[in-house]
Amino acid sequence: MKFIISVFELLNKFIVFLSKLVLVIMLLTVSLQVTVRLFNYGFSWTEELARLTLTYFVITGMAIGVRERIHINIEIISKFQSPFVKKINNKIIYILTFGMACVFFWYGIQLIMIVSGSTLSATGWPAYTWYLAVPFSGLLIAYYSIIDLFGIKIPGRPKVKEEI
Amino acid sequence: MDYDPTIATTILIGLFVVLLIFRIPITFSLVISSIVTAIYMDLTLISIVQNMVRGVNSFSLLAIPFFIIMGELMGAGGISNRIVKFANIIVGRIRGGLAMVNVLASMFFGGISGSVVADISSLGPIVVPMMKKKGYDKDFSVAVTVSSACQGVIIPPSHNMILFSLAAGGVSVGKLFLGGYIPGILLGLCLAIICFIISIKKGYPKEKSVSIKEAIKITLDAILGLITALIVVGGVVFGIFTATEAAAFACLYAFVITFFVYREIKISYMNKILFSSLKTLAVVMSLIMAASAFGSLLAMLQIPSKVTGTLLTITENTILLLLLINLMLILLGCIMDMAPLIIICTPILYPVVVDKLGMDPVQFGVMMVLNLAIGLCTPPVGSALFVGCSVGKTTIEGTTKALIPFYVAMVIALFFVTFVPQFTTFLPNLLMP
Repeated sequence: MKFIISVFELLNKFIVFLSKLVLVIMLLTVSLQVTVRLFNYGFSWTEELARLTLTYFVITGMAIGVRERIHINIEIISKFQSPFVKKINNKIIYILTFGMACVFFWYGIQLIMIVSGSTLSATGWPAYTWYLAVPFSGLLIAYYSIIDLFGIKIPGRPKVKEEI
Repeated sequence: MDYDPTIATTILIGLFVVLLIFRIPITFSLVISSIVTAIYMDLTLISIVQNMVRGVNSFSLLAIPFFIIMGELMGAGGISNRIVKFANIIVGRIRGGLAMVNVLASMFFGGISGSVVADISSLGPIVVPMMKKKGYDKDFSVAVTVSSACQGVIIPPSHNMILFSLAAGGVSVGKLFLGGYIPGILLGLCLAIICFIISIKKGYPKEKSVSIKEAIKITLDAILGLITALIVVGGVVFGIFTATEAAAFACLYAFVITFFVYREIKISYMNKILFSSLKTLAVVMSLIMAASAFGSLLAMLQIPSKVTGTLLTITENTILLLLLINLMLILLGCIMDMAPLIIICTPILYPVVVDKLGMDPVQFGVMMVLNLAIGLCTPPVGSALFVGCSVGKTTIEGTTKALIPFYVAMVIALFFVTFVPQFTTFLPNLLMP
């Protein structure tokens, strides 16, 4: 288990690094587009690349949100829940999140298979590039929901609100 | 069509609400209710995943990450202090000077960050202790900080307006930006009047005057940061940039000002800024992605037109309908955050308010954002209220009590925005006819 946790933690660090890099690439790509336009020039690939990086950023961002426990929810009911009911409620949340992640993983792969063979118009990259992050993000979300379901602690990961 | 649309609608909306009640994150509630509805409707789940990805495959959406980084950069880079000093020159000499400074500084800061929480967490730690030291009531100080931060989501550039523009199917971002100016200033004015009345009643002091030499230095220093907002709004309104390009350009400008002019933080701090932006964006952008799947099912089941029909059966009186919609938005804002509500409610309410009642889309956008901004300051789930109380070390109960006169001011501003279209449409019509 320790090995799996360290592999996924490494993967998480990689994704966070990649997401920061993607933010910078998005910024530079759009700025480049504006700058070259001033000289009456334009690249056909800048907009597509910017949209592609944004898509990657958002899809992996969803998994980062699960790790960091930052997705917004409505907490009113927790005031009326006993610690036991709260615990059961949390387990339900993790199971449902796991189910959703499985849909991402499985249907993400299906999507990749469907569009494989076609290419993107501006960059000429394979069309499945749009969807590569979906199963990957699904896998990460599934992993974190299992970790939460079994109450496994990961050093450096924010705690569940009730435990603070 | 071999499914019952009523049952499908009940599953989609009912399950979404049930999941929300049971604390499932809003993003996942949207996705899970869409998945279950799609299974009932015998749709392939590939379409749900594809709709989600398609929902974020938009060049206009890129403006949101840039605005958020820009706000984080300016917030961390020392603009807050400068804005407070600058506001002090303008309004510090009025009775209750620091409360006025708080309101005006929020107006300026809102023009840079566009985020209520960023506003409170950047300006609050500076202004609230200053106010306490000068004898202002603790709860009053936090109440002014919290309520005035709401200007940030209306005064441009605001990423919430971009969210509205996308959810409404492409209302001009430039017009929305311009439409926010007068209501934002009006809101600030209403809050300032309340501050003034309370300050006279409680004898809060005026601030000392500043020498002309010092005033010029402070003004120049602050203006360098405030130009960021000018780049965005000016660039978009005068057709130099698209909103996304303007946001990227302003972001680069903010980077230069923060690290090469203000130089209060080291360039290595950029890593922290990027991570902080990443966390905010992970929440907002995931919501947009999830709402795309949910939205496609809403449209397929014709829910917006059904809502329009239902509302019109309650009353056909425009004033009553608008009051009802405002009340509904404020109540929703009390229990849910702004971004998800904009994404979910806009496509549902747009046909009623714009198509049936004939309200200008820009006016509707500002009205919706103002409603939800009021919700951010109210218990039980007002994030602005929570952050404000944590910054000022006050209780929710005490601050809420102190906020009551400010709620009145905000509702007055909301009435003007709702029933006097000129407040929102004058500037867009003048500058972007």
